Amino acid sequence: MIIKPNLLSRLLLLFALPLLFVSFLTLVGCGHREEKTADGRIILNFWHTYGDQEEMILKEIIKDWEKSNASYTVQATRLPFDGHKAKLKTALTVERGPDMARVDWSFVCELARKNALVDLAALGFDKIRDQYLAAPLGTNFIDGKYFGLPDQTTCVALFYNKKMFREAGLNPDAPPKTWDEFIEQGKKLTDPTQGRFAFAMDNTLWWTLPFFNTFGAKIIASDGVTCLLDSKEAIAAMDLKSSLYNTHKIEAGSWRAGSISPDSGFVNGKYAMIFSGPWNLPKFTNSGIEFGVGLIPAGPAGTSTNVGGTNVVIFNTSKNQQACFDFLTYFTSAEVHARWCKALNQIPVNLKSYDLVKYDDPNLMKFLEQMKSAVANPIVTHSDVLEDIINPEMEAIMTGQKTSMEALKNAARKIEKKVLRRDS
Amino acid sequence: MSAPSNHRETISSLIFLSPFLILFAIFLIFPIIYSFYLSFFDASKGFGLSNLHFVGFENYVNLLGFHFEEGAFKLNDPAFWWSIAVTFIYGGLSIPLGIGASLMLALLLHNKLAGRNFFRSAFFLPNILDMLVVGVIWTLIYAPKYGALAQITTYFFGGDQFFNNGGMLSSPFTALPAVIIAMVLKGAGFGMVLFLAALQNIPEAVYEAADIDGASKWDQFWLITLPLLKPILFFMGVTGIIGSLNAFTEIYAMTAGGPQIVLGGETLGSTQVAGYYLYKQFDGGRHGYAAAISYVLLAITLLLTWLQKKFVAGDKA
Amino acid sequence: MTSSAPTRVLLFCLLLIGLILISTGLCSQMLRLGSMLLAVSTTTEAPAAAELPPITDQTVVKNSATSSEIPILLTPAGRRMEAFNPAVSFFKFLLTAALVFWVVARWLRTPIILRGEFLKTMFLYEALMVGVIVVLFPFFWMVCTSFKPSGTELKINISNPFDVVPTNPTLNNFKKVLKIEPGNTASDAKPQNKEDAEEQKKNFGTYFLNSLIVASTAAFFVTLFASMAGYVFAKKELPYKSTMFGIFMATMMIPGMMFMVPQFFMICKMGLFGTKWAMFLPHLASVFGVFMLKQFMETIPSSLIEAARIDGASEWQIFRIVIIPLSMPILLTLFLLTFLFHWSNFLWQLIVTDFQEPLSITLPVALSLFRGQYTSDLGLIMSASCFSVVPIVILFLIAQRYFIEGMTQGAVKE
Repeated sequence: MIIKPNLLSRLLLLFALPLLFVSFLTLVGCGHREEKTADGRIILNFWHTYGDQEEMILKEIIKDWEKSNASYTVQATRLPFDGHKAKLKTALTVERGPDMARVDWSFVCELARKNALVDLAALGFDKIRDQYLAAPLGTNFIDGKYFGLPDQTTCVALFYNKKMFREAGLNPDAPPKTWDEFIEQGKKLTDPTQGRFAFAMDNTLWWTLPFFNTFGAKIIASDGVTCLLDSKEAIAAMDLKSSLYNTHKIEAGSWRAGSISPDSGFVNGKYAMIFSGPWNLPKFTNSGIEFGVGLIPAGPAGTSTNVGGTNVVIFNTSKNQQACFDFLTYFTSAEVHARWCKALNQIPVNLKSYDLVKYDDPNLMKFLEQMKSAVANPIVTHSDVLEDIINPEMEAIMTGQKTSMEALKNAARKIEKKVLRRDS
Repeated sequence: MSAPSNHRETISSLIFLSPFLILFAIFLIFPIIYSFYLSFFDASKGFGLSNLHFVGFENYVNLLGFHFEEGAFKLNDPAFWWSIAVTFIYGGLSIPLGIGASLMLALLLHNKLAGRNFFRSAFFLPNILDMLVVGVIWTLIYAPKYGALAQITTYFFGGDQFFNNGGMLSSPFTALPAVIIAMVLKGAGFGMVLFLAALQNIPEAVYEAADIDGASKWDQFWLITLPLLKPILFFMGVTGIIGSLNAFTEIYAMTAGGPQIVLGGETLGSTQVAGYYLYKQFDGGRHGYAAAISYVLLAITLLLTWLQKKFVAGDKA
Repeated sequence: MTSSAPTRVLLFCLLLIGLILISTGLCSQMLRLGSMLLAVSTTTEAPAAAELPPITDQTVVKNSATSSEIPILLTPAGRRMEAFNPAVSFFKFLLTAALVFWVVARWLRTPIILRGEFLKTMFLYEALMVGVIVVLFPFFWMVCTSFKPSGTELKINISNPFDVVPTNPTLNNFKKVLKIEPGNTASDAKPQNKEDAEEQKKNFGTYFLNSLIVASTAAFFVTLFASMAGYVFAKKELPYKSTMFGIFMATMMIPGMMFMVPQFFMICKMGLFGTKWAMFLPHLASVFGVFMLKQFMETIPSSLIEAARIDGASEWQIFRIVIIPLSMPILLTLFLLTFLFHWSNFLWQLIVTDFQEPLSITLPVALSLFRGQYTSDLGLIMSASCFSVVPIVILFLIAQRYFIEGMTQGAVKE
């Protein structure tokens, strides 16, 4: 396979260049999308990733909005959640992006730092900002500006198996309130010979944030360039996490590659407690286990949790940014959002909606309560790199190959070098 | 051959080749040049193709270079070098095993055997399953306590043993072999079909002659069958190398690069092959860096090919 | 065979035990699968009662609030399946007994000198059977999981973990897959969504057909072009042939994902965005295919081509009459593999899909539309996979006549 340079160039000349030339000449540019409907209304493209039911309600809300904004129409296009990032990224490279889109919370930072988004302050965001829940709103706060607003939020809380609690002689209506109680009750719930464990967890950063947050540990300092992963609080949180598996042996080791995931162990009645989110409520109910939801056990900083969910953003290529903003604020305004949440059993992002939403399900209500204690996740451009650095180090702690101090210090320096360093 | 007929032969060859060449020229040459060009740029400033930021050899330096820190030389990207090493192990185990398994199946099912068509079809069938589905299922097979492997070993050796406590995917030393086993079993049917098809091109008369000369079956295999299968062996070897370099779906589905192993203070993924590392860079939007990785991998393969041609010599496939 | 009689009998007994194990395991699972399919297909008359409540978040969450414990009730299909159990056990026993009887009878009829050979064959068959079970288990698991009700996919039968056949089968997953148009989950019968005829067409059939067109066109052209190019590289003369081939090979080492963005850029510039052409055009130049066919065509004896040439065949005739028929098994393999690649090429098809033209969506993209954001319903995914595997299995079963059976010893006589 020796490539002769003269042949390579000859081949290029022979085939590639003329063809490329001809093809680029004859081909039309990217076809421009229609900007107006036949009856003269301006089209606002909205790419979302909602499910079937959500899409139906979205369409109703759009119709209501268009009644008072007759000169516009919102064209809602559904994308699969898997791959919405790839779709948006490639569409943006050829400037075929939408006016606005719903994206995963972790994606807003990359979009904003690559100059694809509109700073919402210019559109009048400051007036309505305070109505949103702090933690989900915080995932839009990048370099001192807000680049999106939350439309849907989730968090994790403690799921526990009531039957297993009863069998262990514990009160099935009182899940542990603090980490000390958690460990103490956990020992009663664990029986390795039966393959029963009190707790099972994942070991990625997002799933570990509840530990860090209950200890009040911050991952990234407010200056945006220092990583605080080796702070006293973070090390204490990690020590507790590792002790559940290594010292107290109440954790099943479900974070190890190839083992039974917390979800399926919980469904099979092998794990008494897991962290999980409201998305699993219907699934677990269907599987027939008797379970309840409690708050994440409190640490020195009280109970707390992480934030998941999505935000809606407006692209700076849009010609109708104000109209997009008006639609999105309408979409997340108190009454409309309350209607959305009630229909779909979701946690409101708008504080004013909280009074309007009441669920029969105590488990779901627990999530509403838990959400108020949530702390915004660390916001970085490349959240995947952040996870790629922290997750292996956490695994090294869990498997005893490194101490918490050593591993977290290592991770903190690496994060500062690879994730937080931003030239100009 | 005389000159005019040689000329005609060239023209007819070109005609046969032209559809492929034209498509290759249109759809692959620009992307190849573009991705090479991209490896000298930083694409993290914006999404448009015009938003590239020239960085010279920075991507390559970050990938291959080393720096001085705390009184020692340290690699800039140890994870990349490690991923190359893992790739070599992955390829070194999976290629011979894959070829061996498919050749064995082909030889077995080349014999006159009742129901051989059933077996041939059955062994080929896993190839049409999605890699992700296969990955998920093998993860369940290896799973401790509930997995099929754990259940079987528990039946024979009791509950307190390796397969039941963590399973093959949870130990840094067995995770890669576990992936390899799954992939070899999935892919064996494909190699088998290639070998079977090639076996049918070996004239029976050759074996009959060898029988008359008194050659044993073993000799016949080494002296007749294997040399005639050489093109297929070469194909399997080369596609095996490409498969190992590009491997990522199986890793993504089964281990996500883990379990971690600590070497010299660095925490490294024991199944992090180069293809998976590359995928993660690409997926994270660091296209320039990903391009640099793929060209370094290409350079390594070309170097190895050249070395093999130069020193191992002779063997023209 | 030099082994003594007692050893032979011992070996025979061991193999017989293996045979019994394999056959009972296989029979019980196959029969249970059969009984499940029977049960599911015969209880469809009362679908409302037969299925668990659909997973609309509302209904289920309310349920959990009212009743503290929800026992798993057997659905009618599950009950019917249970009724089949004695028959399943009986047939399992019958089939195994028949097999054992047949093997023992053959053993007894085999002359002593051939018994060694008999043992070898028996071992070979058992080993092959175990191999088949191992490689086909993923299929079996996939089919079974697709019948499991939501939430119970990962539940394991504690008494026999190998038993993956659901005890409580449901057709819900399949029904959902077949009606994947948005807003048509079981709960809403609201007609407001059916605005026009186009909306009606947004169903599985359309997506399926789109994928079928894309994948089969692509597979046909890849196979044709690659076989022509492979023929040149294997058997014909061309200046710089091996160098050119070396360059092609080198490009194969670069992972395809590197080409995604520039290829997307080109497709847009060509104005093909959102068309079916865009779905496969960039992948038509398959170096892999050329390489595979070249390597295979090299095993075709050149004397056959020479003979055809002497008979006055033109280049195209040689290609059509000599090369294509002899390469048929490999051509079909390449066709199948290319078809498969395009049938499941999610990422590329996702980025060139114009989602404002819902009728142009292909199957992998459509399937991803109902994959949830946090949770993925394993049963749904598996039943979708079943659907997407079906055409390939059919294709394979058609093709296998030509390429599996086509590969017989001594096709080439000289």
